[in-house]
Amino acid sequence: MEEEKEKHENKMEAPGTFALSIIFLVAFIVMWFAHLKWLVEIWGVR
Amino acid sequence: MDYRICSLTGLKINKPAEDLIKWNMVTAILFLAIGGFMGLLMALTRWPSVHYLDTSHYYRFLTLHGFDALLLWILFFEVALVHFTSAVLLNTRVVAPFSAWIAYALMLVGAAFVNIVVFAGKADVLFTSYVPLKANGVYYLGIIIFAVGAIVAFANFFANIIQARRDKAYQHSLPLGTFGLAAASIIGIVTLAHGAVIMIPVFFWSIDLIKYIDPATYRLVFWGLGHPSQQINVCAMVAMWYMTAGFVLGAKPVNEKLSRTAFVLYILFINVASEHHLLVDPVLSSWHKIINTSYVMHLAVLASMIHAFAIPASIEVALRNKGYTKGLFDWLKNAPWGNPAFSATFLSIIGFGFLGGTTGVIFGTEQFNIIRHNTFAITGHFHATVVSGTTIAFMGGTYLLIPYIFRRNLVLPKLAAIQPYLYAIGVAVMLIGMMAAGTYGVPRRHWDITFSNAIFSFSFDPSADMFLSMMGVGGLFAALGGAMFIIISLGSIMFGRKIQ
Amino acid sequence: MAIKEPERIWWKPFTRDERLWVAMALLWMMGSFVFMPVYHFIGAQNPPSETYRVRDHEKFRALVDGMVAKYKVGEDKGVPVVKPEPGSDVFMQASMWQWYPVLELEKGKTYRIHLSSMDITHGFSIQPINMNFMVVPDYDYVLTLTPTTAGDYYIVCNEFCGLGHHLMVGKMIIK
Repeated sequence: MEEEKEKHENKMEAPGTFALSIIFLVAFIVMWFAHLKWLVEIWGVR
Repeated sequence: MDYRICSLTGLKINKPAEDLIKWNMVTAILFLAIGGFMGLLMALTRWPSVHYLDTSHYYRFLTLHGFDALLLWILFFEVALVHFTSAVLLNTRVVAPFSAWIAYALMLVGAAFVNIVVFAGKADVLFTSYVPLKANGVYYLGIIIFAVGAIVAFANFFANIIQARRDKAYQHSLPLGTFGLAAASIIGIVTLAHGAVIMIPVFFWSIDLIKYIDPATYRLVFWGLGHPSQQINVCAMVAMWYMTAGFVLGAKPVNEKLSRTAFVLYILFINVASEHHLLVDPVLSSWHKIINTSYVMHLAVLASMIHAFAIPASIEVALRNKGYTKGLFDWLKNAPWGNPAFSATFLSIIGFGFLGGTTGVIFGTEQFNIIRHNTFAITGHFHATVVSGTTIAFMGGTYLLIPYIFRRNLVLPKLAAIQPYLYAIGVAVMLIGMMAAGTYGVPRRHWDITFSNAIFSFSFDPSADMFLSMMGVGGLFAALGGAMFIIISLGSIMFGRKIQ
Repeated sequence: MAIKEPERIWWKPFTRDERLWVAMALLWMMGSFVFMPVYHFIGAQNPPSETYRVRDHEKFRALVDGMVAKYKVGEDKGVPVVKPEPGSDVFMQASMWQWYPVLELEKGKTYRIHLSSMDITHGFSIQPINMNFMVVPDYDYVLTLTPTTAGDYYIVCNEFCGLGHHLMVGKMIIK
């Protein structure tokens, strides 16, 4: 029982989806930092 | 009791539920036709070298485009899903068909009021109708009647599942699709109540019974309707993703705990974010804006990221079980890409995630909003969520439900197989054009960005023109794909080969 | 299945990919959230929230006129050009369909720009630098603004304000 649970917890159930998700996260972070770059180029305001 | 057994799914379908789903779906599709046609006119007007409509018609049809495509198509479809997930999935009945029909009638009357008064040129106030911009009272009355109807429709969901429980239609837990619609219905009732709270005083103001509506208060409460009503869409869309994967591939959620927790995060936090629209407004403090715009520390976004993983993962597991186990992406290569219900779902996940979700978080970041607020980039963002996300998902849902509910096969199956791709690509080109033009500062909701008759002449970077043309071309393809959807869906409903 | 009732006990442990994905997503979400409050302390570009109630539009108009009378240095297309002192309160009036007056500001100096509308909601969009703020009637929204690049800038209205919306263009000169 314990062994089965451990096996389940160490399984990569959907490696393809996991890879796609990483691509998504990287694209997300790149876009976010592009906006940070555009932000610091504008005038100061508060 | 009046039931039939669906020969394709084995579901027990209650006659009143079937009729309600049919009428709500057809009404939704008709409003998509009107709203989509208005969308084509918008694209043709904002395409600089075409610039089709004159000033007043541009704003009039923009008002209608927002109302019909954003509110009516989507909410009528969601009401169809309310009945599908509560009565049909649970093999039970609509408890109070009478109240469900009242809801349908109220929604239709409200929708007709708004359409007529806008067409008549008495309400050129755009979808947001920011006070003190004033429309004819019928406009606000129409919205109130529609909102009350929609609240009654969502209340029907809860009546149905309570009855299902009594009838022992389910033992312990709702199916995930029904659970998703439960989240959507909770959010729906809260959201539409906001609409009623603000539109009722505004209606009295429009007929001069109330003297003053505070413009900042209006903006805050209006967006309590305007933004969270998009979260009803998100919930219903995600539920549709799970259900399509289940019906088409027999996919099983990889972990019910994960998916259900994510829906609970939606219920708790997603209703908050009305201040996406108020980040560069006066009145509210920064702390207020930050907590609100981030859906409380981005926890509702986390929920979307969980679904965006869990659904493709369930598809992957289902396909791997069918024997497509080679490498990372063999399952993806062998997915049923020719089935429009499946392809629409997958395209919707990609479009919503990569284009809509990311830009939503970025533009909704308090500081980044300074450089994006009210530019065309915002228009790009919400077309990514609402069109390439929700609308495509619901198109897939329509293809899925026509055989089950209308008992007809799709007409023009080859056209149906390419329709989701054509539409998704057209929309993606269009909204990337919008987002890119927005980065140059091109405003949304603007008839003439050359400012040809203004006292000071200013022109945007010439690249903006190129991106606006890109938007126009994409818009044409999207309109073509949309027209194909209308023809295929209504054609199948009327003339499709009958299924016994 | 999502279309069937799940088995009795569905509260099950996560697999490795699920755990990893939720952890990474949560980390990025917390990071991008924490950025917002932190940038208020370390960043130069933050949405202002200083606001005053305008109970009488005429009082705001009087402040604008007072500033124009005091600091007027010329006219551009019939609109007065004012050159207020750095650090001072500057009043910008929005109405259908005009931004009033034209401002001449010094690069690198800070000004308190008061925005208010005489009629309906407008959008204050400085182009081509692309900075956008809302102008709501009955409220005075104060931007503590420090222009850092010189040149001619234009103020475009980016909130729908009636049929003349596209005619509403103002000007800011940064020297």
